[in-house]
Amino acid sequence: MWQILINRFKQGYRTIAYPKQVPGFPGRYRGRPVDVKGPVNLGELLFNEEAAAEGCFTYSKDHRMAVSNKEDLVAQGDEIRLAGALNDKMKRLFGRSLKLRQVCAGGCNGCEAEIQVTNIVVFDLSRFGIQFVASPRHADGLVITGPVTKNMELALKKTYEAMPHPKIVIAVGSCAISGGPFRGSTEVRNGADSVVPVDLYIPGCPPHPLTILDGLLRMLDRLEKKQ
Amino acid sequence: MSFERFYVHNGQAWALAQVPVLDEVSFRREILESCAAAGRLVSLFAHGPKDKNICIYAVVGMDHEGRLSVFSMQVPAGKTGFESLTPVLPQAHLFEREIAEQSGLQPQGHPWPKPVRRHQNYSFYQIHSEEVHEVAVGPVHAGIIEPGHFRFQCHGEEVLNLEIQLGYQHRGIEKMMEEISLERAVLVAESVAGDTVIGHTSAFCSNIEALSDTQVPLQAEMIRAMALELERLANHVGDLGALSTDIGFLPVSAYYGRLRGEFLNLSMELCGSRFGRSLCRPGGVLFSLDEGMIDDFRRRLLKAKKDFTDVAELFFSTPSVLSRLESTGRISRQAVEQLGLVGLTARACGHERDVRTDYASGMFRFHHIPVSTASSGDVYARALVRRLEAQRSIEFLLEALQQIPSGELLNKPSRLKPDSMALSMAEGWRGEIAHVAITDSQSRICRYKIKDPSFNNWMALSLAVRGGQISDFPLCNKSFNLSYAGHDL
Amino acid sequence: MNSFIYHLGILLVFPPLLLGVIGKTKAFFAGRWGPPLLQGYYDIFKLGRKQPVYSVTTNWIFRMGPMISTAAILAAGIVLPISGLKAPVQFGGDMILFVYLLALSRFFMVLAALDTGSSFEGMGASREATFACLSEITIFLNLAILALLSKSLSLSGIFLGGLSSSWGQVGPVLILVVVSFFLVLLCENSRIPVDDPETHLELTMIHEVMVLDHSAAELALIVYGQALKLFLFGCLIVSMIFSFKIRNIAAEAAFFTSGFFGLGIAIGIVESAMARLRLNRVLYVLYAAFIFSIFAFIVILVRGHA
Repeated sequence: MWQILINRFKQGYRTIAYPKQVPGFPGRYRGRPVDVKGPVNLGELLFNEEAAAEGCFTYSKDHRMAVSNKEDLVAQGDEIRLAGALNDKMKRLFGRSLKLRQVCAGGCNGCEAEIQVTNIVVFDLSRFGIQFVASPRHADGLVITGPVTKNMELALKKTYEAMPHPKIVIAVGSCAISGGPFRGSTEVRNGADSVVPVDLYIPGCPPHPLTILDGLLRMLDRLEKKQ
Repeated sequence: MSFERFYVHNGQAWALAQVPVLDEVSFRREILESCAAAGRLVSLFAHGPKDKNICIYAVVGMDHEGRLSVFSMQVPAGKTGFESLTPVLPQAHLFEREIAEQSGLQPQGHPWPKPVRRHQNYSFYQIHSEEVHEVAVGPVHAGIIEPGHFRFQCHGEEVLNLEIQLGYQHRGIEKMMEEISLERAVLVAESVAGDTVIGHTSAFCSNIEALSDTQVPLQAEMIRAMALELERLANHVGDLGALSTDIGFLPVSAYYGRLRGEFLNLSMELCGSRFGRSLCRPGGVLFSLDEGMIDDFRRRLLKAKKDFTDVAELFFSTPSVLSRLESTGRISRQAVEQLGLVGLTARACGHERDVRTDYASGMFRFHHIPVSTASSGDVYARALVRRLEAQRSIEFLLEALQQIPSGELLNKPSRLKPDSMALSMAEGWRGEIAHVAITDSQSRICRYKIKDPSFNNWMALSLAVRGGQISDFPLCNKSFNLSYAGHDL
Repeated sequence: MNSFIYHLGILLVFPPLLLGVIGKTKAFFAGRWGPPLLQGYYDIFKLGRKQPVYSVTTNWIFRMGPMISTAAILAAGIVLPISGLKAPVQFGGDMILFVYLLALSRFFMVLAALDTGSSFEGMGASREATFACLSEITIFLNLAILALLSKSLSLSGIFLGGLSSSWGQVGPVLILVVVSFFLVLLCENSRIPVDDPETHLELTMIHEVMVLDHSAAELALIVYGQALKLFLFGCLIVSMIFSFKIRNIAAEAAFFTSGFFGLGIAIGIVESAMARLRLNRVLYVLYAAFIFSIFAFIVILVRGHA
C-alpha cells in the first residue's frame, strides 16, 4: 500500500485544466477545416491528409467541431455553427448528472478507444458528473459509434427503446454520422440517424477526446462563456 | 505423386499462373502433409471470379524456413462441397466455415458448420439439463466495447461451454475492396480495426507495392517499423491498464491509461492522428521526423520507459493482482498447435511465433527484436508477454531514433500487374495479419482476403473459460483483447 | 418529536455525502479530480425526474421491490442511535429487528431481481443470497458481543454510553469486532475487494447486476437506499469507536462527522489499495470476519463480561 502512495506522489495530479485551459495540439493535428473553398461535409470527412488538397481547405488546430443539426456539418469559409445547449428543461435535468450508454454499431474501435479515453485521469469526464453506465435503463444519453451495420440495427433500436424519457442521442465519429469509410457498402445503414433521432453530432475519424468533451460540455452549457 | 512446391516470401507478388492447381485429393493431402511437417495454415479462402469455376487457395507458412507455400484447387462446376479438413486438422475450422459462407461450398463432415458473419439460421449449442442454465451476453455490452454475442452454458458459477457469435460489425470490407479506387481502399484498410491501423495499412500497402514493383524508400520502411512498434506499445500498455481496471486495481489503471495517452500523442506528433492514420500509403509514408522531433521523441520515450517500469513493477508485485491473474484462463500448448493460434496468445504458451522474426520484411530484416514468451498460458502469462514486448518496443524505438535513414518518403506506385497475386504479412500487436490480393486481367483488384489475428484466436477464448468461473470471463476476454471488427470485416 | 425529525433528517440527507467522500478519496489516489462531493445528490434528484421504463416480463413485485426495500432500510435507521442522539424507537431486542429489517430489504431486492427473468439478475441474486448467509451471522455475533459488554439488548443502550468502559477493559476484543464489522461493511455494500461499484463487467457484479433493470424514481430509491445502508453500517463502526460520552451536542456532532469522513477515507483507501478478489475468494473475506467475531465472542464469554 505504501508503494501505491509513493507512486501516487510521484505521478501527481494529472487531470488537465480543461475547459479553463485548452492544451495545445501538435502541428500535424488535423482539426476543423478552415479556408474552405468548396463546401466540405464534416460528417463525411475522414480527416485524412489527402482530403485537404482534394477539398481545397486547410486543417486548423481547432478541436471544436460538434454540432446539433446535421446541416451545420457542411462547412464553408471559416466558421461553422457549433452545437448549442439543450433546451432549458433538459439542461436543468442533465446539467450536473448525465449518464451515458455507449453502443458500438459496427465501429472499428477507434471511436470507442477515444471515448474510453475521456474517462481516464487526464481528461476525467467524471468531474462534470458525466459517467458511462452499464444499463440503458440507467442512462440519459445514448452514444453511438459505427456506421450501423445490418447486424446491429435491431440491438441499437432495442437499446434506444430501453432508455427512459427524456433521453438524448449522440453520434460520435464519421461512421455514425454518415457511414464514414464504409459509406455505400451494402452491409451498413450509413449512419445512426437512419435508426434513431440524433441530438449531437461529433465529427472525426476518430474525434479527439477533447472534441468529444467539447461537444458534451457544449450541449450541457458547461463551457466557460468566453469560449 | 508430388508436384513442384511454389514458395513465396512475405511481401512478394507473382503471376497467378504460377500457383500450382491440384485436384481435391492432392490438395487435401498437401495441406495435411505440410501442416504435419511443421507448417501452419496462414490462409485458406475461396475465389469465385465471374464466369469461372471457384478456386480454393491455400497458403501454408513454414515458420522455421521463413517462406510460404501457395497452391490451389479448382472446384468443378456443379459441385457444391468439398471434404472438410477440420476433423483431421482443427486449425482449418473457421477458414472452412468462411469459405462456405462466402462461396456457398459446403465443407462436408465439418463438426460445427455454422455461419461466421451472418446471423440467419444460427442455432446455439445447448445443454438440456435441470441444473444447467444459459447466460447470454451481448451484442450490446455494459462497457464501451465492440459488440459480440457470448452464450454460456453454466452450472452455477462454473462455465461448461462458451459459444461466441460474431459478425455484428460486418461492414462488407472485402467486397468493397473489389469495387473502390485504391485511394479509397487505403482509407478502408485503415479502418479494418481502428486500433491496428498501422498493422493492416502497412500490409495493404505492401501488397500494392509488390503488385506494382514499387521500391519503398528505406526511410519509409523505418518509419513504418517505428509506427508499428509505437502502436504495439500503446495497445499493450492500454491492455495492462484495462486488466487493472477489470480487477479493480484503480490507481495503477489510471497510471497505465495516462502512459498510453503519451504514446498516442507521440503518434499524433508524427502523423496527426493518435492511431497512425494518414501515415502509411502505397509506396512509402507521408510523414517523417525532423531533428527537433527526434530529440523530443527520445526525451519523452525515456521518461515513458521509466514510468512504465515503475508502474509495471508495482502491478506485477501486488499479491492481490497476482492471485487474480495466475491460473485464470489457461490454454495449453497443444491448443495453440492444434488450432493454429497466433501472436500474443501463442507466445504466452511458449511458442515463438512472430512474423517479425519468422517472415521478416521491411526494417525487421535488419533490426531484430527478440521474441517475448511466457510459459503458463494463463492471464498472467499474457500480461507478462505484454510487459516484455512493451519494454522491447521502447528499446527498439530508442535505437531506431538514432538510425533513421535519409532520403525519399514515398515512391508513387505505378499500375498494378494484371492476373497476379500478392501476399503480405505483418505482426500486428495482437498477432499475425495476412493480406492476400488477386488482380484480374484489367489490373483491378478482384479478390482481397484479409485475415486479422483475431480470426485465429477467438476460439482460444472459448477454451480458456471452460471449467472456470463465469465471473472470470471478463478478465480472460480482456487478457486476449481480440478484435471484433478485425474478425467481422 | 423534534429529535425524531432531526434523526430522520440526518438519515435522509447525510448518506449521499458519504459516497462523495469515498469517491473523492479514490479520485485522489488515481490522480484525478473526480466527481464533485455532492454528485450523489445530483444523481438522485435527476433520476427522480425521469420516466420509468418497465420490462414486459415484470409485474408489481418489480415495482414494489425498491420501495419496500428502501423503506425497510430507513426503518432500520430509526432504531439506530446516531451521534449521541437517542433512536426514536428503542426497546429491548431492537437490535434483532435492525438485522431483520436489513434482511427484509435484501429479500425484496432479490425478489425484484428474480422477477425480471434475466439470467444476470438471477446470478446476482444467488450471489447476494449466498453472501448474506455468512454476513448476517457475523452481524448477529458482533451485536451479541456488544450486548454482553453493555448489558443491554437495545441498540440505544449499546451505543449511548454502554461501551464507555469496555474500551479500557477489553480494547483488543473490540478492535476485532470493529475489523469484523468493517469487512462485513465492504461485503454488504459491494466495495472492493468484494465487488467494484463502478465496474462495467456484468458477469462480475453482485449488487449492481440486481438493479440493472430499474429506472427513474425506483432507481433513485435504490441508489439512496444503498447509500443509506452504507451509512448505517458506518454508524455501527463509528459509534463503537466514539463510544465515550460527551455532554456537548455540538462536540458530539463534530466527532461523529469527522469519524464518518475518516471512515469514508478509510474505505476509499482500501478500495484504492487492493484489487478486487475473485468471486469464490470473497467468501474468505466473510470467513475471516466470522472467525474474528467467534474469537471475540469466546474471549468475552470466557473472560467474563465484568
